[in-house]
Amino acid sequence: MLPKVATDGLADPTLPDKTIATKATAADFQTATARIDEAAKLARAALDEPDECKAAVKWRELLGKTSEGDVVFPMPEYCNADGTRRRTSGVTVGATTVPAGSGRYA
Amino acid sequence: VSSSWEQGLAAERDTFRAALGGHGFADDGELLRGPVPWRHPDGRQLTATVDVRIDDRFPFAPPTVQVADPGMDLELTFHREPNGRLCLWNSDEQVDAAPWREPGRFLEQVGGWLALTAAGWPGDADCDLERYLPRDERMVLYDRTALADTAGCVRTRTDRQSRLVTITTQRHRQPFAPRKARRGLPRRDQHLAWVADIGAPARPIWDWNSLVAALGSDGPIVDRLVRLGAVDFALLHYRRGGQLGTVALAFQRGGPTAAPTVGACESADTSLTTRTLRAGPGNDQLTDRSVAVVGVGAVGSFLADALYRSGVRRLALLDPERLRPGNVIRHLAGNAYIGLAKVDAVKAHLSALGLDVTTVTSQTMGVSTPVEAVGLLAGHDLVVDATANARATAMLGWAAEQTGRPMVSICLQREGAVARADRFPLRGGEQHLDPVPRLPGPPLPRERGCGDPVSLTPPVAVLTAVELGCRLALDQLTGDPRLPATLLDVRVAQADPPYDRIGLLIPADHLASSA
Repeated sequence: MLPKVATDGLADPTLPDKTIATKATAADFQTATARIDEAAKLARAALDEPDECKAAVKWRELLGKTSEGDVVFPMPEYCNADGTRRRTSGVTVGATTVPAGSGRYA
Repeated sequence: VSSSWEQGLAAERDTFRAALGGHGFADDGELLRGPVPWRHPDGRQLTATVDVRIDDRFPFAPPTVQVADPGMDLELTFHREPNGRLCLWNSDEQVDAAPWREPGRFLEQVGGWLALTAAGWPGDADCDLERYLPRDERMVLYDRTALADTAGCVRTRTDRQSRLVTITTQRHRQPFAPRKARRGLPRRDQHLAWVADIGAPARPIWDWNSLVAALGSDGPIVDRLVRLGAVDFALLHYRRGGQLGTVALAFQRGGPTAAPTVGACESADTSLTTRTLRAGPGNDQLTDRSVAVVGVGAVGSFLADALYRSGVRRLALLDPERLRPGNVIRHLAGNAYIGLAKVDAVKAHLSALGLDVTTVTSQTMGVSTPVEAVGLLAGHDLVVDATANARATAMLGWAAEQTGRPMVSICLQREGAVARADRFPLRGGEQHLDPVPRLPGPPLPRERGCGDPVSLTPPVAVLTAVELGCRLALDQLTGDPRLPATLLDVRVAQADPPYDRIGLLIPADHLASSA
């Protein structure tokens, strides 16, 4: 399939019986294939990473920057740029204990 | 046959009469008349003749005394009732050791009274000029602060039942007699009041003439205005021994030749100073402290009221519920507020105290997100949780720990047998008391059409919880908190320790630190 498209061009969905030709060489396609393969591996690694902060670093690497230079994937507020987790005061066990207990009336 | 206590009272009266006889008093069975030696401030030794009556109040009140003859030419001025009876002792004199039960000390007091009268009652600070006049049943209200620089004629306002007369600050020119006498005085020129400062009066005002004399140069003006029918009242400020007093007088025009009559009305200052005089020490320092009360059911409504009365004027009330008939028996707001949001009912109730409630806000919502909880704590000097809602209390407690800002949570447990208040956040080394275990019991009743079970907590238990919560709240608001993190009051002794004794429980860490 791929070599045929490389030779004949992609079918043009806007004009019947026309194709869109490309000037890419076989070497270009090989390079592209390698890059896509590399990106797929990175995406899989990010998806499989159980730590949200380490995963976020991988997603940032994968998605890169926009043409304006902005990072596409923002780091979550609770993560440092290196993928470590910030010290936060979350709702830890004990922080929500009602000292009086239950069966209360006011 | 009289009972033992009647015989005892009769014996005490008879003993006292007999003892006065020993001091030279004649007794006709009703009235005792006899001599009282006394020493004039100029050194003369004199003897007065007084009439003594021992009435049914004896010995819980002193015998009554009237001066028949002071033994010299002496004007009797202060410390006398309108009927001439002497005021010899303050009402806080202890009956058990009352000096009037011993005739020698009793006569000494009468002699001392005469000596003080001769000296002009130096340093006497009793501001009770109304005592010397017949009583007028109307009450006169005035704002001492607003009237500070007012003198002369002002308008009055009378309520529908003619029970309350308010002296306003609206000045009015002194009216003159109408050119055509039969037309009478225009209505706008009637029912005026005369406001004046009469300084330190040398003698009480007993009647019209003594009033005119006490008014000094204003006397003839007031005399004309009262006889004209323009002025019905006078509000007179005066001083006695460094104390400031105010007396309100009501006048009735006499006939063409008779002098007007003067009566004394009970008068009362409506200024903020007087209205907050009984609000507790330091109440004026709480006016700019802001408190949010989350949940204004039984506990929250009375707590808001208690905080407001204690001086906290910046109150934010939060509660999504409306007042139902079944709530009223245990709620601050009365039957008239049924159907209103509880927050609005509480605010309306507070407004009836006569103070400014524009700094009391009401929101028909609770606190449902952590961001709201943190915002509430950040925006107030204190948040009080009176929700008894597990989620709301957990969230507000958590927010207090996160922000370091104070929160007090109040509740009742075991159907009102235990009242409890907890303060957050904990300070170094502090702990809350342990939770009160919930006991199994019969199912609680439910109000028809209202989903939640109804707690059997009695109304009086609510007040106990309010008192605990208020103590923690005010302790926090003063800026120098000293109370522990939990106050727990066992109202009804329980089977399980440590709740098996009535009384207050506090955390052991506080007991150790305050020992």
